[in-house]
Amino acid sequence: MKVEKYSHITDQELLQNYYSSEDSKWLGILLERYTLLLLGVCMKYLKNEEEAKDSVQQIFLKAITELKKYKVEYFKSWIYMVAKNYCLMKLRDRQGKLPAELNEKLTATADSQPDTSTLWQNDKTLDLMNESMKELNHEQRQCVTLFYLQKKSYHEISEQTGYNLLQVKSYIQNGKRNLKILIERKLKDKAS
Amino acid sequence: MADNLKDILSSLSPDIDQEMLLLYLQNKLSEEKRHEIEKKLLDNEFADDALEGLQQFDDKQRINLLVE
Repeated sequence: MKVEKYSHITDQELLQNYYSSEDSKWLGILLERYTLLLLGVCMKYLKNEEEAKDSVQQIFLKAITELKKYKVEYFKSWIYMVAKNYCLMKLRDRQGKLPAELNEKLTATADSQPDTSTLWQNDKTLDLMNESMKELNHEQRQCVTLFYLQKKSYHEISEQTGYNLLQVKSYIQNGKRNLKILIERKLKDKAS
Repeated sequence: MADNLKDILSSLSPDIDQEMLLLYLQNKLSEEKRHEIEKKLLDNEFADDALEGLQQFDDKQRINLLVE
């Protein structure tokens, strides 16, 4: 967090600087940008503060070795994947086998989200959005509306509705996902 | 209103400043700022995972010392 003077340089530029100069200073700046995120990811999976801190250092070392060998294009998704794989390995060492739910989560691809930016080029989408909103269940519609239209925080929504923070988050996430599915389906129906 | 609705369909992975994430974690942001971070987190799996882990640290005020 002391690297603000480099904040105008993108990840990609930092990597390029590193590849062309072989000066590891550039890698240091890049890795420092992700220290907090990596610490969080390690803690999420390993649930142990000391082990999480240690893992961040190990992931840094791994990244430095691998970046010497391969050219990485999208650093952010790459380092996220390196971190998840590292944690997965640690968990395997620890308990021999992994709970199925976690395994599934870790192996899911990073880019599973469909690109919906083109949806808005279609004039019909706004109508469809309003229509689809009515098809969500009550909790999802309520939370999506408070969050996206009234710009409330989870905390405010929780106070107003009585749902806890985890419920609020999951209603918004699921509501958002359902809206996308509903709209894509309606657009497809119209096209055919 | 159309603009707000548009956000629901966005699938860009917006960057979140480490400093802001830390302030969020330490409950030092206004509700308005909290909303902004939360909106970004919904589209940023990396940061969302990280936040979930960071919330499990006993002393959130000390987390910034860990990353320096």
